[in-house]
Amino acid sequence: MSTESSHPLKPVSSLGETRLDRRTLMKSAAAGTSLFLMSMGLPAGTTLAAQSTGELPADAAPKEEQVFRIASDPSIAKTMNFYEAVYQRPGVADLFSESLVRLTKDFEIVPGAALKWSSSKDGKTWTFELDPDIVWSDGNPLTAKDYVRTFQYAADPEHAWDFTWFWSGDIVNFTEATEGKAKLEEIGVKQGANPHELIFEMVNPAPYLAAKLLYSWPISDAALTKYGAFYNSKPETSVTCGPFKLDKWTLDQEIVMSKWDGYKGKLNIPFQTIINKFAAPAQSYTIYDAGEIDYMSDPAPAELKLMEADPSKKGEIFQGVADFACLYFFFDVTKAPFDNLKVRQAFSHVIDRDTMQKQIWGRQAKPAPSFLAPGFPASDTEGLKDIQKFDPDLGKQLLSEAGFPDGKGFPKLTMTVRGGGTPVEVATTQAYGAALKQYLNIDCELQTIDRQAFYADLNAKPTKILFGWVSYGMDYFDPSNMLGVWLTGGRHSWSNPAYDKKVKEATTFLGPAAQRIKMFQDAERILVSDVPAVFAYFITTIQFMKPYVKGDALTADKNGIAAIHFPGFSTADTVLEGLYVTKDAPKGRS
Amino acid sequence: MSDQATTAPVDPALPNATLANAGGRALVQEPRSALYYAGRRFLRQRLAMIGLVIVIILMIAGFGAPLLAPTNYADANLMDANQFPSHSHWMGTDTIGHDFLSRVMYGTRTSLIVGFAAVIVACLIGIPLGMLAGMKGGLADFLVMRLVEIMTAFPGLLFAIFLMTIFGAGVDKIILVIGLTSWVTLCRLMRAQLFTLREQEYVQAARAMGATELSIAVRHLLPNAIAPVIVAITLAIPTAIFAEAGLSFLGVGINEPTPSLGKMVADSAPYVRVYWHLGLFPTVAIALIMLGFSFIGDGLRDALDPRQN
Amino acid sequence: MGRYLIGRLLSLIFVLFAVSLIAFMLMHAVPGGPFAPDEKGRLPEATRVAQMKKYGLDKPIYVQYVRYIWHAVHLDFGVPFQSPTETVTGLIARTWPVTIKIGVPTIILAYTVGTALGLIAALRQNSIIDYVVSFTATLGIVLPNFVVAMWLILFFSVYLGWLEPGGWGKPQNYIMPVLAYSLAPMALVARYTRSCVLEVMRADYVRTARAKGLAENRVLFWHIGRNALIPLITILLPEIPNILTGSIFIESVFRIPGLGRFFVTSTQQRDYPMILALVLLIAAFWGITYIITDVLYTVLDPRIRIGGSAVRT
Repeated sequence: MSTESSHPLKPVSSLGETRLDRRTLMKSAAAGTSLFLMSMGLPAGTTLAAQSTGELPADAAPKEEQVFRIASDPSIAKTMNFYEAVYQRPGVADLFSESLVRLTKDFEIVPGAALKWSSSKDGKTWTFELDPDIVWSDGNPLTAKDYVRTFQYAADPEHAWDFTWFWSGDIVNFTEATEGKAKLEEIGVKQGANPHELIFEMVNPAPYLAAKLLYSWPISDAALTKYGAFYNSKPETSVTCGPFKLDKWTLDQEIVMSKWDGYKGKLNIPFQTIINKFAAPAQSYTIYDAGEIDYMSDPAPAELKLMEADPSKKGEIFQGVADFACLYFFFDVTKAPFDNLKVRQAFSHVIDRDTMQKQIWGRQAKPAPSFLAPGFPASDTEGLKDIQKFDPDLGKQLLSEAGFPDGKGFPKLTMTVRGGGTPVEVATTQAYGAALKQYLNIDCELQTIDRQAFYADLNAKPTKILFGWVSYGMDYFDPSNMLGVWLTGGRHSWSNPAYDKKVKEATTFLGPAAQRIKMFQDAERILVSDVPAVFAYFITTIQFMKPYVKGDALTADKNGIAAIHFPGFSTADTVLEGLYVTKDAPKGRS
Repeated sequence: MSDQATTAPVDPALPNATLANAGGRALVQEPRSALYYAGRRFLRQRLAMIGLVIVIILMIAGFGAPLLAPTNYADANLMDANQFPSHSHWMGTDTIGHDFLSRVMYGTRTSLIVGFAAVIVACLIGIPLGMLAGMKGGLADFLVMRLVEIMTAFPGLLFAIFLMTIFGAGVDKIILVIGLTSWVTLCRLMRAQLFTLREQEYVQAARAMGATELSIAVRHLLPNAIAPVIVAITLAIPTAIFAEAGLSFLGVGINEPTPSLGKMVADSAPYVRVYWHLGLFPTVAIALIMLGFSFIGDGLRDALDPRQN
Repeated sequence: MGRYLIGRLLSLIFVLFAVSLIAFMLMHAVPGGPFAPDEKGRLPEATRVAQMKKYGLDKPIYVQYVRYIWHAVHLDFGVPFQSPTETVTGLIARTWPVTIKIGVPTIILAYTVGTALGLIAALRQNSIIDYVVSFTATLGIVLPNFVVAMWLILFFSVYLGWLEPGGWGKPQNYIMPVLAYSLAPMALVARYTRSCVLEVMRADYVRTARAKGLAENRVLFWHIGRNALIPLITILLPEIPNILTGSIFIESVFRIPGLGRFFVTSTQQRDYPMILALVLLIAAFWGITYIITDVLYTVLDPRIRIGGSAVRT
C-alpha cells in the first residue's frame, strides 16, 4: 500500500508495507573504492563477520528460545521470490536461497553463493564460481542452471516481471528478450565450463556488477518447473537452499520458518526460528510494546517520543540509514512556470530544513541539500549545501525576477503527494506547502492520490504531475544506481545532455576509482544546480529492538552507525549472523 | 466503518407506511396551524433545543471563523509546532505549527459545508426522482426503483473510493461523491409519501377541478409530503459529515491546506499518544456536530408527528 | 406472494448485472493497473505492455467484461491479483467466516442491549434515564469506530494490560472488536426502539386495548414487545450486510484476518477479479436481505401488504 522509500527490499521493515530499514552512514568515499576494487575481481574479501564459529555467546538463551519475531503488512505478501514479484514479498522473503554476493555492514561485497569472481579485460564478461557444496532441499545441487533459469524467467515477457528495468540495457539481450525480439536462451547469463561456473555477458563494461548482484536470489529450476512460481508460498511445495525452511504460512496471519539443517552455505545464524506476523504498519508499535514482536522500524513520531522519554527503553532505539533514500519535491521542467530556472531556484530557497529537522523529523531524517546521502559513494552534501540553501529573501527576489513579484500572477498550484506516506512525509509536505505561502505568497494545494494512480501519472510520458513529492533509494551501492534515475527518459522530464554524458561515462569507467567518483560528483553538481527538484531529507530510519536481542549487527560499524543494515534479514547481507537472543528473553515467545 | 461511511441508514422511525398513513390523516388540517403546533412542540423539547443551540454555536464558530479565528487556516509557523494548549494557543498547535483552534474552527466550517452541500446534492437527485416515481408510477416508477436498487446494492465505500480516485480529492468532489451515494433514502421516502397522498380526497378533488399534475405535485403533494423528508434530511447531514471523516481517514478526502475534522482525526493518529490535543479537539467537534443534528432530527420527528398535539 | 418473490428475484439478477457493469467501468476508469506500481519510474515500455497482456487487459473492455461474466456465471471468479496463491472463491471462503464470527456476536450484542436500552428510555420518556440513554446512544453514533477502536486498545491493552491488543484465534480476541463494532448499530437500535415504542404506546389499537381494560402490563408486553421486533427488521436487518462483510477499520486495528480489508486493498491494488467478486457478493447479500426484510415486515406489521400497491419498496 504505501512505502516510505521506493526501495523494493522490505525485509527489515517492521511494518511491512514499506518502511524499510536503513543502514549505516559512511563518511568517506572509501567504501565506494573498496567496493569498486572488489568488483574488479580482486580477491574478494574473506572478512566475514565474527561469530562464524557456530558457538553461541555465553549469555545466549538455549537453542529452543532462539526465536525472532518481526511484523509486516498483510497486503504485501504474495511471494517469497524476488524474481517473481519484487514489490510483493513479506519481510522475511529472502532466506530460501543464496544470493551470489552479500553486503557487510561496512558495505563491502563479500562472497555468498559465489566463492569468487573475475572479469575479462574489457569488463564486459564476468565469471562467477559457485559454491559446489550448496544443495536444494529437494536434493538437487545449486548450479549455474538455477541462476540461468532465474534470469531467463526475469526476462520472460509472459512473466512480465515488475523489475525488468534492473537488468535492461545491462545484460546482453535482456532488453530484447523482454520485448520478445530475442529468445530467452540468448540472454547473457550462461553456464560456463562446468555446472558451477556462471557467466554474465554485459552490454557495457560493468565495474558495478558484483554490487548489483546483491539481487540474485535464485529460483529453483526444478521447483519452478514442477510447482510453478509460487512454490515457496506453501510448505508442501517449498524448496530452499538457504538457511531457513518454510514451516507454516497462514495467510494474513503469520509465516513461521525454522533453520534448515541441510543448509550448506556459509551463513552461521543463531536464530532457530523466525516468525513474520502480519499487521498493518500503524499497529506495529502497539504489538511491539505488548511484546508480540522483537523488532520494528519506522515508528510514528509520538511512538519514538514515548520510547525516548522512558529511560528503561532508550537502549531499544537504533538509528540507521537503510537504502540512502532521498525524499524530494520535483517539477515538470517542461511546463510553465517550472520551465523557468528562476522559479525553481526560488522554490529551492524557501525550504527550511533545519527547522524541519528540529520540529518534524527528529532522528528520523537528516537534511538533504543534495541527492546522494552522506555515506553513499560520491556523496557531496558539504560541497553542494549552498546551492539550494534556505534563504527566503533570495527566493522572493528570484521569484520577482521570474515575473511573479510577491507571488502575483503565479498560477494556481497543486502539489501531488502519494498516498500512504509516513507521518514524517505528511508533515514535511504540509510544512513546505505552508512555507510556499509564507515566504513566496504562493497558494499551494496538496492533492494526495493513491500509489497506483500516483506512479501511473508520474511515469506517464509526458508526465501528468507538474509538481510533486517522491523518493528514491538505492538498489546497489554505486552512484550510477542513484544518479541513473535522473537520466533523460528516466523517471522525470528533466533532461540535461551534460549530466547524461557525465553519468554514462562514469558508470562504465574502468580507470582509477577516485576519478570515477569525481565524475559522479560533477554530475550531481549539475543536477542540484539546475533544480529539477528541491531535495528535502535523507531517511535515517529508526528501529526498535527488544533489549534481549543482542549481537554484532547492533554494534557500530566503522562509521559509527549502530543499527540493522541494508538489506537486512536476508541472505544478501550478514545481519542475521550478528543477532542472538539472550537469557533475559521471556520464555516461550511465539 | 463501511456501515456509516457511505450509506445513510434508512430511518425506520419514519417507516414509510405508518408515517404516511398518519400524515395523510393529519394533513387535512390547515397547514399553517399544523406548522405552528409543530414549532411549539419542537421548542418544548429539551434535547432538541440543546441540539439547536449546539448547532448554532458550531455554525457561528465555523462560518464565523474568518472573523473569529485567531489565524487563517493556512497560516503556519513551523517554529511554533507541537505546542500543547496554552494561553497563546488555546488548543495548542499541530505538527507544522498551525494554530489548532483556528484549524478546528475552519475544519468545522468544512464539515458543515460538506454536510449541507452533500445533502443538497442528495435532495436534488433523490426528491425529483422520488416524486417522479411516486406521481407517475408505471414505467417511471419501475426505472427509478431499479436505479435505487442498484445504488443500494453497490458497496458504498467502494463506490466512493472509486469516484474519489477518478475525480481526485477536494471539497467539491467529496460533496458530489457523498451526495451521489446518499440520495437513495430520500428518494424512497418521497416516493412512498406520494404513493399514499396522491389518492387522498383533496388531491382527487383538485384533479377533478382540472389542475395539472405539475401543479398538484407542487401545490398539494410536496408541502404535505415534506415533513418526514425534512426529518430525514436533518439526519442525513451528520451522516454525510461522518462519511467525509471516514473517507479522509482512508486518505481520499480533502486537500491540504483546507482543514477538515475527519482529516484532522486521521492525521492525529500517529501523534495522539503524546500530543493528545490533536486527537481530542477534532473528535469532540465531530461528536458535537453529530449530536446537535441528531437531537434536532429527533425533535423534528416528534414535533412533526401530528398525533402529539 | 409467490409472484412477488419471483419478481423480486428477477429484479435482483438484473441488479447484479448492472452493478457488475458499473464496477467494471469504474474500475477501468481509475488510473493505474493491477501490477505493482513502478516506484523506480524506470520500467521499460515492453514490460508495461507485457503486464497488460498477462492480466488480460490488452483486450477491448467489452471483451474483458463478457469474458468475466461468462466465467462468473459458471462460478469461476478467477484469481485475486493481490493473493495469487489462492482463488477469489478460496479467499472469500477463508476470510468471510472470520468476519462473520465477529459480525454475529456484534449483531446479537447490538440488538439485545440496544433494544433493552430503547425500551427503558421509552417507558421512562423524558426522565433522566431517557436522557442518559439517548445521550449514550447518540455517542455510539457520533464517534467514528476507528476512534473507538484506538481508545479501547489504549485503555484495555496499554493502560490496564488486560487484553492482547488484537490478534486472532483466542476467545479474548473477540472482546474489543465486537465492542467497538457493535456500538454504532447498538445506538441505532436503541434510538429506533425508543421511538417505535413511543409510537406504539400512542397508537389507537393500544389505546383501545387499554380502554378495553386489559391490564397495563399485558398491553405493554404484547403490543410493545411485538413491536420491538420492528426495529430489528427495519434497522438492524439492512445493517447486516454491512456488519457481516466487515470493516477495514476494525479488522486492521485488531489484526483480524477477515474480509473487510479487501474492500479497500482491492481498490488500492486494482485487484479487478476481487473487486467484481466483492461487488457481486454485497449486491446479492443486500438484495436477499431486502427481500427478507420486506417479507418479515409484512408478517409482523398487519398494516402493510405486499404485492398490491406495496408501499415499501
